[in-house]
Amino acid sequence: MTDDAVEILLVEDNPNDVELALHALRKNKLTNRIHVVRDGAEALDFIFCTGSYADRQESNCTHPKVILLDLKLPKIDGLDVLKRVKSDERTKAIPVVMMTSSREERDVVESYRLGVNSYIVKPVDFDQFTEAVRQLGLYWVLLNNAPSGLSASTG
Amino acid sequence: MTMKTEQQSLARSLSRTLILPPLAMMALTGVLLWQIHYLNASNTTRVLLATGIGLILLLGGLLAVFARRQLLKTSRTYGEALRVSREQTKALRSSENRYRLLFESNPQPMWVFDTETIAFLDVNKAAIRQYGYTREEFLNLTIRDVRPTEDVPALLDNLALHTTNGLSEGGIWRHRRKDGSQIDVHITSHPIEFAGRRAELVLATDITERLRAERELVEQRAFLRQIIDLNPSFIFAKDREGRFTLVNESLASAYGTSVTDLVGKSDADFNANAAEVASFRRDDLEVLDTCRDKFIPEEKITDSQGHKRWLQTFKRPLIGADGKANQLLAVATDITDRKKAAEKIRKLNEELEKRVSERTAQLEAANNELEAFSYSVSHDLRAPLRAMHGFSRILLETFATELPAEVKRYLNLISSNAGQMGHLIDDLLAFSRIGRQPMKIQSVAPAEVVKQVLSELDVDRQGRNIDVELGELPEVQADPALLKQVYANLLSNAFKYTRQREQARIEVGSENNGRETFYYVRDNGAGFDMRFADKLFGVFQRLHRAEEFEGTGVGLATAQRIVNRHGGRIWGQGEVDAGATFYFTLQGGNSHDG
Repeated sequence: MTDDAVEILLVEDNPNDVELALHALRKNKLTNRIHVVRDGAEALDFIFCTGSYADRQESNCTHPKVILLDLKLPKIDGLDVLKRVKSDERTKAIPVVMMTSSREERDVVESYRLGVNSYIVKPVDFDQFTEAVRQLGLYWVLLNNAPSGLSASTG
Repeated sequence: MTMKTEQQSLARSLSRTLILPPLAMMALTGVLLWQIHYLNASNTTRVLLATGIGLILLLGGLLAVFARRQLLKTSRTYGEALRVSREQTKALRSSENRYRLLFESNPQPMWVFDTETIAFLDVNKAAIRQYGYTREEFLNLTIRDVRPTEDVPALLDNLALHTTNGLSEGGIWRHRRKDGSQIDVHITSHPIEFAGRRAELVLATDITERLRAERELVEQRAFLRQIIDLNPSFIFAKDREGRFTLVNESLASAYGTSVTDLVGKSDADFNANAAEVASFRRDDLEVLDTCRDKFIPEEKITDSQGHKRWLQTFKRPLIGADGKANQLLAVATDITDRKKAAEKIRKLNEELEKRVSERTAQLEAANNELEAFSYSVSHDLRAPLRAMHGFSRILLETFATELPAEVKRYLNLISSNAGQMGHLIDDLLAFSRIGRQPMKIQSVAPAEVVKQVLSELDVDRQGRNIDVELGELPEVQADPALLKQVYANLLSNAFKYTRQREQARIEVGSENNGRETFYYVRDNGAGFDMRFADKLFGVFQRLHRAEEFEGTGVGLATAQRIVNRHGGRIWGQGEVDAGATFYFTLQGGNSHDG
């Protein structure tokens, strides 16, 4: 609908990681429509336009093009956020990309079971990280064609 | 001649001798009378004379007839008497013969001995046969001579005491035969008169065999008795009324009594536990009524001490000729100890299981803790590294032109160290994961695994002259993913440590010593000093400096852990600057965590 509609929702509690992620996104020119939330509860409020994000109702509670979701989050865990998003008819079509430090098999398996669209292990190497973010943005934000009606900002 | 004709001839001769003289006399008297009558005599005288003579003659005649009749009668009586006498003599003679025959041909040895001299007076054929002496020899012996010497005094005592009236039961004696062998005899004797001497008629019945059979029977009974008494099981027989007809000592002593006392009594007389008695009775009657064996796997009996004993009992009906069972035979084995042992084993098992489950719970808890630990390591330890690396990179990128070379070098060091630590963490996590992951053992072709690893390591080969020789690699039971990790570690080491070789040579193969297969990876690289061989497989243990060869010191530790989990061994052989060979075995995939 509007140009300033949020395209990327970044759910990340670690400020360093937020800064690094923003840097990487900025480097790939994806910074304008990014919104950062710092825990799972805030993420859900944003997505479902509740709590402090209730006023998003006014703009029809638009969906982001992609949610970059950390696994370990305060209050509500990343997997729980994923579950809520993917089990709700209104939000299940939003692409969710897990971005996490964890290489643990069970996390990967559980994420895919819950319907995650992609699973990225954040590398220590910043160059690799930047590259991963670039590809993500390229695919999910620029190339991916979300079903119409899901996001008003599609266009 | 028959008795009748003899009697007739006697009568005839008698009548001839007795009748002819009177007849002659009567004839002469008649002549006389005729002379008197016709010669010279007076009439009266003659008449009187003649009348007298006539009367005499008449009387004489009558007398003669009477005498004849008497004589005939007498002669008949005499003949009868004679006949009887003859018959009696004959009967006597035949009776004697009979007795003689009875004596002589009696199948039992018999003899007659003189009471005074104790010499044999007569012996029968059976005695001759039995004792081995001839008749003549016998008649020269005394009855002492058929006794063993040691029995003679007893014989003499017995003879002295012997009252000669009536049949005497001589009892059982030992006799000695001519050949010296001894027999057991039962003696019956009877005093008789023999050829005018006081004597004893002796009947000697050989009872050797009977006694032997009796002794054997007694021995056999005693033997069988011992068998049942020695048996620790209760062996008993009961009648329909529940009375014991046979018991062994085990049962008697359990009931606190003797075998003789228990026979004829029943369980109720010795067992205070009415329920047990009733149960025994019920089983007994079932066996007797159904005529079928019964096995009672477990039953209790209260002994005289009040102790409960566990029995395993087998009851069998003793079926009589009428097809009915009037008795039953039972064997009851005391299984108390067995039960106790089984109970003990059960308890021990229970305890063991409890301990195992406790230990398992502890292990699980420890494992969970470890997992939580590595999970948090995986998540949280990497984040700061990412920050260090990331911000160093950003600084280097953003202020590339402004920063002095020194600062740039330091920033590079920070980021490379952060990267190195990232590798360390990754390797450590992989290492810890090996012990926790369940293994999926299956048939694996190691050659395929090696080829995969080689293709993944292709990057490391670029610009290098590496000759990889792939030998025979027999199939093996293993977890393919883990086996791949072993080869990945060994091959990447081989690539790494041959880096300084102009021509690197890597050999992958196997050997078999007849018992097991060794898989190996050999290189012509830097090798190592065998003195430090024990440090090869320790976590973070390195035999080379980081400047020479980069690494975390986790690779071989990981390989060892995998091999151990497969029940195999891994070891290395090497020489400094002369290459290294790493061998490992995989024994069928036994799960050993370590």
